[in-house]
Amino acid sequence: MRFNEKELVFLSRQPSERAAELGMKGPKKGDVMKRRLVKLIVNFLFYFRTDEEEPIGALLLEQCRVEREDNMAFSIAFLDEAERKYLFECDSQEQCLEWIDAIVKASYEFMRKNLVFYRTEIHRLTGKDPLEQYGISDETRFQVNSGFPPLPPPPT
Amino acid sequence: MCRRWTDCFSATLCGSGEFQSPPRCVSVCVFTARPARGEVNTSYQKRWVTLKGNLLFYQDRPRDREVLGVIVLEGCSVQLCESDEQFAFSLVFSEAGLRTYKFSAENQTSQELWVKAIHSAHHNFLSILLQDLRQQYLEAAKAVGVEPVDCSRLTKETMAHSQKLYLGSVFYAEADMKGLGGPGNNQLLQVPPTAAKHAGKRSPKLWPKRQAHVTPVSGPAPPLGEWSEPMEDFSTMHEEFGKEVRRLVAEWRRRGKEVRAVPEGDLIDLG
Repeated sequence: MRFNEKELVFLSRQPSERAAELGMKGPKKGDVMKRRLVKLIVNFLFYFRTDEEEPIGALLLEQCRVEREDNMAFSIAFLDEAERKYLFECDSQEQCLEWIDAIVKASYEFMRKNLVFYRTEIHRLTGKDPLEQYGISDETRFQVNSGFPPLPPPPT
Repeated sequence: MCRRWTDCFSATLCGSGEFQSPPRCVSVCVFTARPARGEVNTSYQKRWVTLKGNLLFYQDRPRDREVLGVIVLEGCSVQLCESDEQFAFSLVFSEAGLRTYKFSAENQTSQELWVKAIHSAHHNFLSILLQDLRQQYLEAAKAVGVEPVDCSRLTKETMAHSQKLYLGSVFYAEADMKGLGGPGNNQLLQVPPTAAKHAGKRSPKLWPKRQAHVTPVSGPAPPLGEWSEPMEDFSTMHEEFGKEVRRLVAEWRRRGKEVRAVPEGDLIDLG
């Protein structure tokens, strides 16, 4: 599949949500743990050799599973290749949890689902669709199904 | 350098229903605009284009499994533009070295829908909208006296739950969602922590050189202005986007009328 490397390199230079040096091991059999500069920018995870300006690669954080591995490590696997895992080693348990949190929440799909949740809940609590004021209630990406499901009355 | 880029998009090649807006057929011409030389190679190729989040995929035919290519919709502005083809719009990046993409839609409605969709496809748009709705949710819950879903920390159990949500199509009928309705069902989704927790980490100026106001292109692209005040408030951002799109459309219609007044033999030479 064609893509423009320059677009990705450009993206990799933008301010990151989170960046740190982590241990990283690729999914292939011969891959070993190496120290990499890892940057989370929108829904991409870029990784660099610690002394280089341009990234070696990136992971699109959609349709992926982020899991805690051991005490201070987490893994990222993609739904179509569940056995191929990228492993990341952090310096502390706290850092590990923060990275997992950040990566999960960076996914466009995750954000979209949350938005649908809030929309439904706000509608349930207030009787109003919060997207109506912005004129975007019809956008397909914000639909739950063809209409709002029948809602119970708000709690008294 | 960049040896592992192929890994980057492997997940999306399977073409699942998830993470998808309804595909619309658009003819695509991919060409490179070099600053010194202007347009080269304006031949259009018909492609089936799909917008998925902040990514624009294109392939030969709607039911093809193989995706030909992808465009990352970050740091670019979408503009209505003049072209040999009708109902054209282009993607222009705020970085000089990045190629411009030109598209031609099947009709005016489609053109406007695409411009609108791409305009708000970038990650930050959804992020800000989400923050806004989270705030509204917290206020609504408080007003009614309901405990809002608290997910300031991901736990193993809640993470396992959210993992389940990655499976299955969500844009249309979604079995998971039917359960939503009561506080007892708040396990279904991970709610991001309150904005205050991450406020310090997120940079509001994601695209320092981004052109915040799109303008119609009739000649060489206008110089990219400085990033205007970052719009952290969704209402403001939405208002601004709306104004821009309305202005573009009005301008284009006005121009369209002028063009149509010209008899066929005298078509404007856009070459």
